[in-house]
Amino acid sequence: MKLHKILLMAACALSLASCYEEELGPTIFPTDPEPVDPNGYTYKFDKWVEQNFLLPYNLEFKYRMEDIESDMNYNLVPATFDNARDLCLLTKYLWFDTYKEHCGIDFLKTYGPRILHLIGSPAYNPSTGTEILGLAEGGLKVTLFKVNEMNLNDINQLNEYYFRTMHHEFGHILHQTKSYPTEFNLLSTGRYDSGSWQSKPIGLMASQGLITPYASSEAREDFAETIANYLTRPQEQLDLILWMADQGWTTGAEEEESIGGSDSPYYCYYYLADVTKPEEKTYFLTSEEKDWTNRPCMIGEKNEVFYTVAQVEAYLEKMNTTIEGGIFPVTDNDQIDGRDMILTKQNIVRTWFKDEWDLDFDKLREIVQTRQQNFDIEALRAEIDAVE
Amino acid sequence: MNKKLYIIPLLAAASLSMSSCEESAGSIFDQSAAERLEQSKQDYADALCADGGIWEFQYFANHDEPGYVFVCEFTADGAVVFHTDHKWIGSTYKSEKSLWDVISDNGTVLSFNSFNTLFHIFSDPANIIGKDAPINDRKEDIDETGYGHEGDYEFLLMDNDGQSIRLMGKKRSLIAWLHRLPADTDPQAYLKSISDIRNSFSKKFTTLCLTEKATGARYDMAAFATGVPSVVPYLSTNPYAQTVKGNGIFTTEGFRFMNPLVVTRMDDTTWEVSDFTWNEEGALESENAIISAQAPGINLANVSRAWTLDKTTMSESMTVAHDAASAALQAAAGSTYKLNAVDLAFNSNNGELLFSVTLIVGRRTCRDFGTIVVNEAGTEATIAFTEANKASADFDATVPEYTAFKALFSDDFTIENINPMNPESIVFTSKTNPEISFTFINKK
Repeated sequence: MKLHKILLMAACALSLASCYEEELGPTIFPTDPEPVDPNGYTYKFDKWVEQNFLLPYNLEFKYRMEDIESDMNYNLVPATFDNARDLCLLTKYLWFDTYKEHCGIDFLKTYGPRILHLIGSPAYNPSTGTEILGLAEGGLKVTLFKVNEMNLNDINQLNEYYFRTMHHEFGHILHQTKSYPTEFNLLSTGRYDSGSWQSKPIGLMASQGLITPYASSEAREDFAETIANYLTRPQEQLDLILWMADQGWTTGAEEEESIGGSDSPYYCYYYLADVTKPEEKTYFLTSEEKDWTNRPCMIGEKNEVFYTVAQVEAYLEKMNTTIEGGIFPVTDNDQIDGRDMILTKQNIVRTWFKDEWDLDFDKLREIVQTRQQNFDIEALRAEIDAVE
Repeated sequence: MNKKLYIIPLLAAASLSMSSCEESAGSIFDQSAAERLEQSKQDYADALCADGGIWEFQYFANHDEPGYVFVCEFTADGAVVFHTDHKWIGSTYKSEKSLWDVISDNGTVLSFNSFNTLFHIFSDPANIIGKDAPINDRKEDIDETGYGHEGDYEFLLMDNDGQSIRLMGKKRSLIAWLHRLPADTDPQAYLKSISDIRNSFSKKFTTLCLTEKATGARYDMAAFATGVPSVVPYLSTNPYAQTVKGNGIFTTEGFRFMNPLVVTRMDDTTWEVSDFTWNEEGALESENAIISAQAPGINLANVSRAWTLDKTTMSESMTVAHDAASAALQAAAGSTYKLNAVDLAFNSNNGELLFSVTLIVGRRTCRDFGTIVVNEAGTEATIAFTEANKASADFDATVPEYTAFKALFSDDFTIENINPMNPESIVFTSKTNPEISFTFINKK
């Protein structure tokens, strides 16, 4: 009986041990990186990318579409070569060189993404009517979409679709590397709604302390939006959003006040068409996150568009003097000081940047703003032409 | 019993230990998988650029649209020029340069990896716009935002015989083809030769005839010129007979369905049609079928059609009779009474719709009613007059040359489409006097 057991165990051991591998031979995969082909159609650009991204930052700039790098559930197309080249130049100038100017090259060498992937189309989500403009994955990869629609003559469009997206996605990489204070998550608890943020107006969200509708989707997006909007929006746009944050908003139906998600527009002012009937209010002045010029704006009663606080206030003053009985602001009854909340969130980011990263949030914004307003694409392209 | 139970696993374990180290891979392949993949990439890249690098690219975006032809010029520097004239760019010839690469993916893959306006329009997820944009049952534009045409731009390279490469779309798995073209090919002229074929089909007679060679059975083939024809069983009495639809592509060689189209016979058995090439007669022919215009007799017997005589194609005897009639009419009734036109159509006579031959003499409409009988194949017709209107009867009484000319249309004829794929012109040849022949052109 014992013998049987021993034999059985020996046979089993033999069968298990018989496949023990010898020392592995050399890898079957190529080990040397593919050199840039000097005869390639894109040689100068590829060499420039190598010199400016791969060698200094160990960053692979994938401007040729690789769908295995993307979510295969979306229908996507590659970026045009010309737009990819220009966005690559702008990425370096407005993002990498910004940080380099502020804190030296080592910061992005250490914390920058390792892959930047450009995609020509947006990633549409037909079921929600939304589109993805950027993605950050695991602190390593940033994907920018909609590259084929890039218009170098429209700074607001560049800002909306690319620059803000870059800083938003890098914000994710930073907080994926070092957590931000949990205090931030608690500020707007109960206000986040990942399912219907896209149907909420910017004015209503601002009054709740959320700088954009997308910031209302979840706390970490709120955090990234706080970074990206502060760094990239010009002061007049930030001021207008803060003005929106000071207002009360309503659809006119009392039960919908301050809730959001309604398809009806939200207004922040009203007047009485008949002063003897105070219950019959005529509401006006709505907000838009972006109009065709890609700027946040306020829309007046006759579709007048206002991009600055001064323009809105002049309009309200005029309305107040021309309408019998005057105009009235909608009561802000959401129990939240939207302006204070947005500024508090900016302060948390400011402190986190300083304490965790030794970065000056305001100085960074100053550099970004200067660069955004003053880039010369022809001069940047000349860098590629100069490659030998 | 216990001993047996031990022996069985012992034998199994021993046999496992002896067989588990058998090597096989090394004896089959000289190179590792990675080396073979690299070699395959290089081989395909070299093949694409060889001999001028000019290829006809036959491409299908989806199952609902026809195939599109591009001429692609591949160069070793990684650039490719697409030439095309498809309808989504306004049916005008355009060309544009972009990038290509052969990459390792789930196989060796040809990737057009920078955006090309002419080609990637079929992969772009934006809503499809334009006059050909899809509509719903209520004729409203369908919003395809997020989907677009859903075409592939990356293709698995399946096989290569030197002159043709078979590809399969990576996401949608639709088959595409690259066929090598001579290095001196003029892309614009080449594409025009294909668009000329597409445009040669009649806009009036959109239904062609699919004939199964083995049985002679004929099937209506609707909307063939669109590249997405439907096949309806011909003269079917089977209430369950299925209409089948398939997309295909026009090439210089002929017409190829993306996937073989399975057609159900009257007896519920099936047969398949796929690749058609032009035959000597100018019809499209495959191993088992012919696509041609409907037989002329079918169209002549259609009460909604009308035809007019093409005087430039009359035979000599016919021309002599025509000119004699015209001269005699002018001599009898005045110089304005020239024989202007001869038409065939169904017209009303006392509330009855009858086949008729109408001669326009000056401004007078001289009409003879009668019958037209065509054979089952639609290749022969017998026309007979039974009654003339007053204008025609008046000339019959006074101008015998008129009557003689008119009588040439009352005869037994063989009838034939001039273009086997386009039935707008029908040649009539008298069976009793072969020297009498003429052509009628469709008016409506």
